[in-house]
Amino acid sequence: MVMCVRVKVRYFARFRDIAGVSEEEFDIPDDAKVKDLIELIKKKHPKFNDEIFEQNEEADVNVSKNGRYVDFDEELREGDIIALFPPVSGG
Amino acid sequence: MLTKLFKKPEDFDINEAINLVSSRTTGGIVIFLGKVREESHGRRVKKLIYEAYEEMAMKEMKRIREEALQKFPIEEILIWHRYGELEVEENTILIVAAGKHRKESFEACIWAVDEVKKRVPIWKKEITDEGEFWIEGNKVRKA
Repeated sequence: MVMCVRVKVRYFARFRDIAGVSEEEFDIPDDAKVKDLIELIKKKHPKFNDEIFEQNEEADVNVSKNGRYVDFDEELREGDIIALFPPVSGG
Repeated sequence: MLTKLFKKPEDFDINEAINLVSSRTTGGIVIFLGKVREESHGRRVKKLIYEAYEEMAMKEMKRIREEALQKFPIEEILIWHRYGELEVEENTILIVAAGKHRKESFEACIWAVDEVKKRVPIWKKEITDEGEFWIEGNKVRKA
């Protein structure tokens, strides 16, 4: 039996406009990685697929876990806070 | 606080920033103050709306400060950033680097500004006469 873990996903800037929410929770298998979560997000929000992943390199999508940049192979654990956001533009 | 986010109307006190990095051995302080300008690549800017992922932005600013202290022979460096709706001429970012001599302070200050622009999760939306645009790295996207 596959165990599930629950993670919180936060969206920022234009990605929040695309998701239509600023945060939501996902139940994922406990061996899931960031890239598996991204597949679930694309299913739930087809606009992500059309407007972000179809047209851009992965480099244009930033992912953080608990406040630190991670790559798409990062493993996820119960309670992790994942954020998805476009390239930053502070300063 | 040597790294801090200021939500408008909170603003920088530059004298306080200088005091925070100064000591009896300081010989050269370099200050970079970023401001909202009225023009962006031909667009007439009314204001910039800065959005921050606050918890992560704070962590990333702390990391940049610690890396700068390792990388350059400076004594201290301060990194402050504002967010909210910022009008033309308002302050956006303040970096103050202090060293015994000017060279390392200039170099650390330039490096830190570049790192903030690359890494700290803050985004600006331009409100212009030509419409609203998200700025994403060096790309511009219609909002």
